[in-house]
Order: sequence, then C-alpha cells, then structure tokens
Amino acid sequence: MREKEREELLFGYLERGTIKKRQEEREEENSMSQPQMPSTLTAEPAATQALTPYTRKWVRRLIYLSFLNFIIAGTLALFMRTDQGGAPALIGPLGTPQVFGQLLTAHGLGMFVGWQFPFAYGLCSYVFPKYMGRKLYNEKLLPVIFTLFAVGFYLVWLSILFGFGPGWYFLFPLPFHGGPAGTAPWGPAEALVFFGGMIITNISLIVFAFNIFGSAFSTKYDDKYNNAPRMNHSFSAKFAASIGFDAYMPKAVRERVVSYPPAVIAAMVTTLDMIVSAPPFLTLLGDGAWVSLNQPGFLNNLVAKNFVWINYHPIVYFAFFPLIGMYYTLIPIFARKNFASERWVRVPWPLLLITGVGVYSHHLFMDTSQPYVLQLMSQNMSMTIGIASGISVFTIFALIWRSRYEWNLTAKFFAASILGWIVGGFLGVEQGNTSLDIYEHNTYLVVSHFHFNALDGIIPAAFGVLYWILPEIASKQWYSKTLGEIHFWGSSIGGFGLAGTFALLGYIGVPRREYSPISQALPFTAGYQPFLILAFFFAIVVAAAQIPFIWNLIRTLLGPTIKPPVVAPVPEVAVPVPSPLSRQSPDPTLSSEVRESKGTAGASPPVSFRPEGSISGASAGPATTTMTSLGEADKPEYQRIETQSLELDLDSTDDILSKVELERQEGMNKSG
Amino acid sequence: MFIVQNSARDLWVALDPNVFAILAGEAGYNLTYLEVIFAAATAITIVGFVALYWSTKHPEEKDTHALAKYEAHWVIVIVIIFILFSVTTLPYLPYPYAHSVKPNVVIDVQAQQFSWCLSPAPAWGSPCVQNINITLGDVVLFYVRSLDVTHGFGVYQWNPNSSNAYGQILFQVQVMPNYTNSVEYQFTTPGTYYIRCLEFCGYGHYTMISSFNITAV
Repeated sequence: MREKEREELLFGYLERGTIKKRQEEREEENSMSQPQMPSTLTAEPAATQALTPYTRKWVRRLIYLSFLNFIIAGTLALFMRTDQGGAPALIGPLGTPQVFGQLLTAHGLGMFVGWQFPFAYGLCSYVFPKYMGRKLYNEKLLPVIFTLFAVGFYLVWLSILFGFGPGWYFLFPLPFHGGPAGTAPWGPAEALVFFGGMIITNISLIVFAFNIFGSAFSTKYDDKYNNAPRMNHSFSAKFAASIGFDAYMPKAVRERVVSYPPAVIAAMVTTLDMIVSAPPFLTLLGDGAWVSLNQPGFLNNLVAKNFVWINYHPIVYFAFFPLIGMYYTLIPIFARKNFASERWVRVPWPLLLITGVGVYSHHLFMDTSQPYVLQLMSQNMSMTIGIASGISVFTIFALIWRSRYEWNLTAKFFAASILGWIVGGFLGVEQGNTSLDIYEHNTYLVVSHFHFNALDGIIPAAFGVLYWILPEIASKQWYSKTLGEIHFWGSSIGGFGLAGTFALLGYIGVPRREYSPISQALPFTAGYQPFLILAFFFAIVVAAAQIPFIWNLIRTLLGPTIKPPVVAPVPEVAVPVPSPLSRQSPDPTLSSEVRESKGTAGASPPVSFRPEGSISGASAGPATTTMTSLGEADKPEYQRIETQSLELDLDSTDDILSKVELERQEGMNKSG
Repeated sequence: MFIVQNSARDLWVALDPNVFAILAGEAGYNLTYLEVIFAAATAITIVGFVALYWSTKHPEEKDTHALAKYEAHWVIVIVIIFILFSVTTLPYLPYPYAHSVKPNVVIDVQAQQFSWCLSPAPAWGSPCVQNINITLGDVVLFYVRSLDVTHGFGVYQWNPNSSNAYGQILFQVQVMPNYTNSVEYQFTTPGTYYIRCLEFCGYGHYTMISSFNITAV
C-alpha cells in the first residue's frame, strides 16, 4: 500500500485532498499505535532505578563543593566592597591594591569556575537519570570528575593566595608581567601553578562531557530513546533531539524523532558549548604554562584574548542553561499544567547553542584590531540571544498565567531568577551593541549586567533547585522553612539592590576593577562615594542573608537521615495535598508505592521541611514496621488517613522495589 | 542604505541630540536616555511580574492557554525591535575605519604600567608631552599602543560649572601590546579632559590617570 502510494505521489496521480486524507489516516494510525508522551511533565516522575545511591552520593558531593566555593568567593567579594565602598568613609580599606587584584581574581574564578563547574556537573549528572530515566553512562567517573576539579581549582586558588592577581580572565601578557620591573607581586611559579590548575580543571570538564555525551547517545540503553518502534533512532536524529532542533523540523520528520526532556536538552547544550570552546582555551592555558617556564609563547595577544573569551562566555552559561532546563521541568509541576506547545519549549535551545559561543566577540568590541566581521557576528548573536531568552520567558510566563500556581520556596526563587534574567538581559542587549558599548565597556554597567544575570539570575535558580532536590539526593529533610524564606527575601533584596546600584554607578561612568574608583586627580569622582557605600550596604545584606542558609544547611545535613518509607500495599495511604516544597506529586494516582519505596522524588520525606525541634520520620532500623509520624505543623498539608510504612536502608531499596513492584502487579492482576 | 542610515540617525538625534556624541562633534553625551529606557523596561517587567502573581490568584477554571496563543506574535515583535535597534545604531560604529570623516590631527598614545604618554604623531618613541594641547574643532585620531600589558584608553569630560556632578565618559579603546588600535573624536568644548585606564593592568591600575587640554584658537 505504501509503495503504491509513493508511486502515485511520485507521478502525481493523487489529488491534493486524497493526499491530505491519507496523511490524516496515517497520523491517526500512528497516534493510536505509538502514543507520544510529552517530554515535559506536570508531576514529578516516579522513582527510577537510574538515579542510583552512588550517583546521588556524588551529585550531592559536587553540589556541596559548589556551595562551599560560593560562600568563600562571596566572602571575598565582601572584602572588595569594603575596599571600594567602605574606604575611606566607613571603615577604611582592609586590603592593599595588590590584595584587591587577588580578590578580584579569586572572586571571579571562585564564582564562575569554583561554584558553577561543580554545580553544573552535579545538576547535569542528576537530570539524565531523573528525567530521562537513564543511568549515567559511567557513574564511576563522577569521583574522577570531582577529584580532578577539586585538585585543579584549589591549585588555582592557591596560586592566587600566593599573589597571582591578573583578574579572572587574565588578559595576556598580564600573567607574566604583574608590574614594572622588580615590583611584580607574582612570578612565573605562581603563574605556572595557576595555568596547571586551570588545565586540570578543564580536564575534569572533558571527562564530564564524555559522561554526558555517553548518557545522551549511547546505544547501550534499552529505552524509548533507542528502541521505540517506528521512530528514527539514527545518531543525527538523536543529536537533533538532544539540542532541541526537532522543533524546527517539518511535522512529518519531527514526529519520528523522540524528543528529549528539556532538562536534558539544556544539559546537552551547555556541555556542547563548553566542549566546543575548550580546545582554544586549553591551547591558551598551554601557552600560559609554557611561557611561565620561560619559553617563548606561541599565541599573539589578540588571538589569546579571543581564546579567553570564546571559552569564558559559555562559562557564564554553564550552570545557567541547565537551570533554565529546570525552569521548564519544575514550573509545569508548580503550575499543574503542561505547555501549550512542546515545540516552543525546544525552539530556544538551538539558538542558545549557537549564540552561547557566537556572542564572545562582544567582549572585544573596543579592540579596533579585531576583524569587523567578528564584531558584527557577535552583535547579531547578542541580539539573537535576547530573542531566545524572550521566547523562553514568554513560554514560561504564558504557562504560569492564570494557572493554580504553587508559590513554594523553589517557585519564589525561580521568579526572582527570571526577573534577574530579564533585567540583566536589558543591559546585556545594550552592551551587546557595538555603538553603545563605547560608553559602557569596562564600566560598572557590565558589572551590573552580570550581577543581575548571575547573582540575581543563576544563583537564585540554583538555590531553588537546591531546596527542591536536596531531600532527594541527600535523604535529608530541610531543617527549617522559615530560614529558607529569610534566605530568599534577604538574597533577593540585597541582590537586586546591589546589581541596581551597580547600574547607577555604570550610568555615571564609574570604571570597574578599580581599587579606588575615587581619585583626587579626578575631581568629578568624589560624587561616586554615596553609590559605593550603597553598594557596600546591599553587599552586607546579601552576605547576611546567607547566614540563615548556611545554618539551615548545616542543621539539615546534621539532622537524621530520612529512611525512605515503603508504604505497604494496604488500601489506606497518606494522600498528599500540594504544599510548599512538598515533593509529593499532586496526582495521587501515581504509584505511591514505587515513588516512596525508592527514596527519590516522591519518596523524599513526606514533608520537605520539618518544624524546628521536631523530628518527623522515625529512624528505626532496617526492615522494621513503623507508623509514619508527622509533625504538628505538617498536619494541615496532609490529609492523614492511615499509613503503614517500612523503614529501609538506602542500599536495599532496589531489592525492595522489585518486590513491591511485583506485589503491585499481582494486586493489579487480581483486581483486573 | 544611505537613506536608511540617515533616517536612523535622525530618529536617534530627535530623541536625544547628544546620544551619539562621537563624530557628531558634540561633547555633551550622557547616558540619560539609555538610563530612562532601562528604568522603563525594568518597571514594565516588574508590573508584568505583579500581574503574573495576580493572575495565579485568579486561575482559570478551564485551561485555555490564554497567553500562549500569542507566542508567535511576541516573537515577531521582539525580532522587529532587535532589528531596528541594530540597524539604527550601526551608523555610529566606534571604529574610525567605518566613517568618512578624515582626521586633521593625530596623537600617539603609549601606555605602560602605570602611566600614559601622549605625543604628536608621527613620532613613536618621541618624548611625552605633559598636558598636550589640542585645538578646538580638530578631528583627532588617537593611535594607541601598549609597551607591556593590555590597558584601556578612556577619556572623561567634566565641566566644573555643569550640573553633571559625575563627569561623563566620552569614548574609549583597548590598548594592546603589538597592536595599534585607534579612536577618532572631534572636540567641540574647550577644557580639561581626563584619561583613565579602563582595563585592569595590575596593582597600580587605579593610579593610571592623565589629562590633556582642548583650547580655543
């Protein structure tokens, strides 16, 4: 029949109406035989064996490491503010100009590398098992990634501690020329340690990328992404789906490609951007290490500057893209509805993939030696990234609009993050314009742009995700919801205040990276003082807001481990009602046995926040039968009927899961 | 293209006569206009967020995706905005090679940690001139070069009698070793102009300050 039809089509025997009718029939036939699952979810997916205890362990270690670096790098920033804003009006400079250079270098690297890398490693390694249902390609590589990164990055910070301070993007040849002869605060040894550390850090990136690409494309997995009948499982089809390009394909082709979940697409796009830009960056680092050994360099300064920024622009997106993927994943759950169009969810990603690297030359707009074709490319790319962001934001807004949105802590952090993304984006578009950049380059407007995007965009999204996934990856119940709220409001007020003040500083022309922006030689700079003090004040607010977070995190981690309860197959179970940060799916029809037995998603503690001073969830030994006890404060959130649960060791959950699954199936067979 | 360029230029100049001071010869540029656009856009965004919050307190009974159906329209609008933004600003590229105005004065600028050296060109390596004088109205081409690391040649203007207490940045260009970058500017207001390094160049970066004078004939 098909052959005949094709022949008819080829020779034009069929009329248009007949073709359309047959196409419709075929679509109907396909849709009946091959129901297409949406790639986005309105409920947390059921527990999956793919997210193994081993993966969870290393994901949480990576994420703990990232937030440790965040706190250290943030503290360094506070000292920079005292140098600039506190001095001399309030408390006087705490450092020297040389220390300021070190702080500048350590803060930038601490946030963009020290915080972002392990966070992105952890999050990307989480989303594949969680949302794609695939065990990581090789989870034994996670400790390798962790160790390489930790060794490399702490070598970088060590070099800075010993005096290395050319700024976080170390424009050549500053790393080898720290000052006029005899005054340089650092020498070739510190530079060598720095470049060595950066090379090791980037090797961890390559190992990570290997794991991610393996997880995305390997044929070893027996799942719908490899074996769905009648679907196209060629590498090109999988690659297109993994970057969201299927959204641009004609319907007939698109329907034969299995879409990847948005969180996975985001992880793929960010990893691809990083890996594409790694070779030039590693060349640069190799050159740096070579010159540090008193050998002649092989890159000229303009090429070196290109090689820095071609990697350092995607770095900015390394954690941000996976977090945008988490917006697309979690916001439908909070909104309790799916996107109007799955296609619009995927449309931005190919654009973000190309522009993530392609915008880099906007960091060189003020280099007239840079070929104009690159400047023009990057200006257009900067506008395109605005378009891609505009699409994403609109898609998310349209989903939330008039939905029964659950404004839990994660949702609040996401809202703040999207606001930072948009406002920072306005400044980004402004600065991504060559003609305007001449007034804005290297002023506080740039600082404002990336603090709106990072401090108020990436970081809140990361906190939101941390509050969401910690119970799952660490089997811990958050110590206090109130502390989380204080953390949110403090970070938001301080963060937006700080970035907003930076914008004011930028609009009055204050240069960035100055130990002392106010100079007696420049009479007009005296007016900068009130703004610098205001920035100092907001920085204190941001810092203070992290104290409840640290306390909450420590108490949470020191608190009792939640043994994942397995609800025995009795008819009466706790029916979850959507509650702030409750990890239970609002849909009680999901298999609660499976969810809860795994200690993942739904199995995370019945309530993610326990009231202070009380412990919910008994910590009895393995395989004992206990009643689930809920704290007083939790009662309104759950209609507790009767729950009987088994407390289990994490490691034995796989066995129990299969047992429970068998029992469930038997029950279904009986009832059927 | 010529007509498009002129129309675009007229549009911006009509909105703010000083918005593109470079090459237009007006030294009165400030960022007020952009500041207002940014503030307005931010305010609109915040209103949007408040409306979004309100909407979730008044949910639809039936899910109609009321807003989502306008996504394609939205994309068309932002694409048009970005194209207009790009096209209207292209005539004001900050690169001397993009413009037909020929300079009648050339100044060589050499930078090194942590000082500036200005001298009349062509005289690479010639002695620095302190408080070099440039005649009002000259179209000046600055050739900038670094003897060691990357610096940023930023020029600020400040009039003690003006209401602008903060001065303003007029133009800048990166100063890179082994390359000669350039920037062109026509000064139309006499007075002292201040040079400040705008690229982090080491521990003494913040002290890298100099000045020159523009004098009426």
